[in-house]
Amino acid sequence: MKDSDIQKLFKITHIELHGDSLSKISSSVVDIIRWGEILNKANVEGVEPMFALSDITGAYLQNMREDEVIINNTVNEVLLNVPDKDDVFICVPKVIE
Amino acid sequence: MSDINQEKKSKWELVIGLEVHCQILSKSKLFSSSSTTFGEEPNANVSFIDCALPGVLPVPNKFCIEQAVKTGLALNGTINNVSYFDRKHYFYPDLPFGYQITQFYKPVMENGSLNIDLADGTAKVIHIERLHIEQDAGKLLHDHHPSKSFVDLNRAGVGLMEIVSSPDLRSKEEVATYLNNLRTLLRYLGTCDGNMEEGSMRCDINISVRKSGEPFRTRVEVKNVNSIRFIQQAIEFEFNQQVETWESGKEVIQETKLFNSSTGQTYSLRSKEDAGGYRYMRDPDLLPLKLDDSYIENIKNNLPELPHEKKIRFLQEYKLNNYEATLLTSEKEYADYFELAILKDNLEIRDAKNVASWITTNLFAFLNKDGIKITSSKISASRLGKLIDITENGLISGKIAKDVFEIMWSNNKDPEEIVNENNLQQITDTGEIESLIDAIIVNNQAKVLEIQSGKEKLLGWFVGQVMKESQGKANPDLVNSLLRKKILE
Amino acid sequence: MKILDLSIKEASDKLASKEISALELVQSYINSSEKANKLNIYITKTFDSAIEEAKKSDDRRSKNSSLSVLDGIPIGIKDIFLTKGVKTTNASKILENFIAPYESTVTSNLKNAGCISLGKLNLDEFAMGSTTLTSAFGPTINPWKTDDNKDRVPGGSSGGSSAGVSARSFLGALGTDTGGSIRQPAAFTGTVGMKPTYGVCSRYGIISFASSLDQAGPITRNVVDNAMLLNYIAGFDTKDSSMVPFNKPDYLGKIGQSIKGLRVGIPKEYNSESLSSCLKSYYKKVIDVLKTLGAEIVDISLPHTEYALPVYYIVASSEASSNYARFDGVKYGLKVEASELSDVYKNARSLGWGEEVKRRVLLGTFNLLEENYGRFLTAAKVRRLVTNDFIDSFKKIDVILTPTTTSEAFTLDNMPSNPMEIYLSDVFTVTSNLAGVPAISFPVGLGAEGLPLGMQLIGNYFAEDVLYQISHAIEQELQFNGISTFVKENNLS
Repeated sequence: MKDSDIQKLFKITHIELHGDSLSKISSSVVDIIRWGEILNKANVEGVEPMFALSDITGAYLQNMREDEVIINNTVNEVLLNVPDKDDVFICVPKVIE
Repeated sequence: MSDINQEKKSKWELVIGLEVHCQILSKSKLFSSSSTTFGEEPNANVSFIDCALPGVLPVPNKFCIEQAVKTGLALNGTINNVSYFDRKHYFYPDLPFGYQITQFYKPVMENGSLNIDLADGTAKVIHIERLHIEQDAGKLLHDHHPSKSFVDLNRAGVGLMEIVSSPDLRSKEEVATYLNNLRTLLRYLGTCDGNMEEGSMRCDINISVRKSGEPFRTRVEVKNVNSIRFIQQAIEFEFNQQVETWESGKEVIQETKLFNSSTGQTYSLRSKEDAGGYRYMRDPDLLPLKLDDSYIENIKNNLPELPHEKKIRFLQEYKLNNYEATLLTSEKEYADYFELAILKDNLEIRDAKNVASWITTNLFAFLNKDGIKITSSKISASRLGKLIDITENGLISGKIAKDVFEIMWSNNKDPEEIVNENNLQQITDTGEIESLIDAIIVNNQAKVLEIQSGKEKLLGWFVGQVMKESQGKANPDLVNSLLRKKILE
Repeated sequence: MKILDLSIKEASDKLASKEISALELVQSYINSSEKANKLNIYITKTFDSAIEEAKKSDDRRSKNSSLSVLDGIPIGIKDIFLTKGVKTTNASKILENFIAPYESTVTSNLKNAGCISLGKLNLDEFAMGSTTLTSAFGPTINPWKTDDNKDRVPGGSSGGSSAGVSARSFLGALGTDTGGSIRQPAAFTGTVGMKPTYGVCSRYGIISFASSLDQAGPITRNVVDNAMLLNYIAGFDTKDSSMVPFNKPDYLGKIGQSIKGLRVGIPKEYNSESLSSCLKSYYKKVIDVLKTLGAEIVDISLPHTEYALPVYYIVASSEASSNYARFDGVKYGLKVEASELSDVYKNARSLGWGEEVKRRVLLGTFNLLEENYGRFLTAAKVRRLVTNDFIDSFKKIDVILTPTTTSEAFTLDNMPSNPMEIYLSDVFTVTSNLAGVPAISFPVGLGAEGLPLGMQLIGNYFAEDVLYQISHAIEQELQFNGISTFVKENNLS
């Protein structure tokens, strides 16, 4: 794994690191990724992936909603923790496309 | 671009595939119970789920799934017995989870098609690669504040069907036809209102050009164009630009663009998902979507008559011409009105061609003039039928019928009542007409002589005079035969 | 009678016979909690509302309209559950001021049964860790000290829950377990911790870590108490569409029944080199107890065990990186002035999270990159192999017995600098999360340094009642005195 690969991860995840933290985390990330390569030893030929228990049990979505409008909350509750809001809007620094 | 000469251009062929995002018609959102109503106060239709609070989980809307299956079947597609929901990741304030729930690896429908009717009267089959279910994003408003963008999440989480065509379209006209036909189909099904102005149907266009017979060249994706006119403009601009690029020995690069409707040009999108791709993964909060054959069969058996089938039926059963059949089936409501208007109270069928002509000319003109939909027409289908009946049985003349129509439009009365009140019955009394004719003949002896000496065309002038004197009420056939008798015999 | 000596079962009986009142009970635990301040068990205390709730509970009792056998029982809630109107931090600065506007299903189940929450409990930040050292609000201290008076970690990530039960700050606690986060802290604190079958408890209102692995469960002083709590927190919830309707048994149902003839598998892969000698001897001792009780011991093999940890770290970090994409500082999170959108993201995520969360978000993101999708897919395939090992085994046996951890609780100060060394200690617990099977950790005795040790029973899908039956039988035989150093020193018994 190259340094630019790590830099790319920082960019995608919007995580910025400095100093000790940067070197410590970067090197441990590399170690852990390398450790995962042990899985290449496993014989997975013909094995279907299992992303969740449902892939084993064959369970499927049966717990679906009827098409009904149910309002359980006010706008104020929804926006309760918004760091930057203006009236009923959530605000972000101006985005220019 | 304008300096590309036509000859150069004519060597190049457009290759277009469309990804159409259609908002699913449903009361509540795809994974939450919030309303989907358009035009509410900002963030009024937002639940804890829609704004991605920690701990929330998506619960699918049964009806949205059904709507997608219905659409998939109407597009002749294969409904997968098992499909999955996946997460598509990117950061943007209109996407509260940081991912969109979509169906990337296994969509609900694959391998469908849509027949489109081209202007030259031929039909073309456009292959549909897939239809998948996904969430809509919210909206950003940029002009409320000098330094901030405002986020409105009312649209976030509304169900979408993305309908992806193969690159089978070859001109901007074909694209327009495809979109119109698709829109009509969706409206017939009631699965999407097809309202492009309100954004309930939006389009990503994949455009490339090639010389005929060549394999495909690099394509450009123009995202999120929301009117057929703009889509055509975008295609035209891209075509010119790509031809120019290739002709000048350069390469078209694969990229994502946006369309600027005020300049009519496309421009490169400074990518918001660039670096990391979308990092698709199965959504571990949602179980596989399993649809068994009986469920699919049941929806299939309950599909309404689709526009294409209806048009063929109108052509065959009612002997309409292509223009009328196309127009009357272009909206389900037109067809419904038409089929009501041809039906008499005793369940006999009126002259379909006559009814079709009344609707496509007079009725549509009045609807247009008042800017109203056929479903709120001021003249009901059965009243229009009655008007046609009293014209056909000779109670009123065809000319008077148009006047009666206009009165009906304004006062919402029964046509016969209007005829009686205004004394508009056709004059079929020979004596009455003869006396009108006699008076005119007396005053126009010179013209009579001209006719008698062979200028039969002038008979028309006499017909006109009689009709005028009778205020249009004289039966024109009767007038004609009496005139001939009196002048020529 | 000392009120703090009562178990949930005993307290419930005495509340029913009106020998004690809920107010008395709750007040006693509030007092006890106050004495434990230096252990840093709570992130948010809700003592005032607890007193109010206790009065209401007594009121109901006096009108013979108690909500359940749990009415009036004081509990603690891991601060990963959303609790309406109360701060819910996930032990992170990014949610430092986050007030939950709704209530999780599991906590609401307990409150509807009359349980009284004393507050929100410390954990590893975003439940990522096995020590509770990564909390943004400081570490929790294990109420058990070594014989030479050294502090230890209470395990993690549900360290506040395990420490609080062990320190007698409340009678039971809610935890969550993604790779061992209920069972390992239970083992480190001499308490009982159950991770139910995936899908037994609703995940609605729990801040997801890895959606396909997360399960809520109780931590208690003994097995019966644990089953009593599970009876109320388990159950189908229409708000969690990943659940499948199931027949919920009475989890107390099999407790007390003979375990004669039950087949207990001993997987050869779990008798690893890294197991401390103390644990090895306890492992043998518990096997002997089972034999004495008439259980049949069967040697089994779970051949893909060696792959379980890397699979777990790939699956868990990938799902976490996705689940945590919503923490972008827009809808909630740290408020830091920013003039560019990317700075809003960067500030929230860089200043809001500690190192462990960042590490795992980076790892998970790496795994999900298009070019690494093969790696993610391989992990999912090996996950099936690990799961098939269990499915095959449960055709021959009823439960599997393993140690919960490889060692006693870690020291606070001398933690390995390489996070992988800590990851490796999850080796016995992650497999049941990957397979989705239930597993319980229960205390078996004290190790060489005087710290408690736990054993783990892993059961077949939905066989929580069998796990309770067997662990209860062992508990009765071993008669482990689970009174922690802290409880003794502070005369809380």
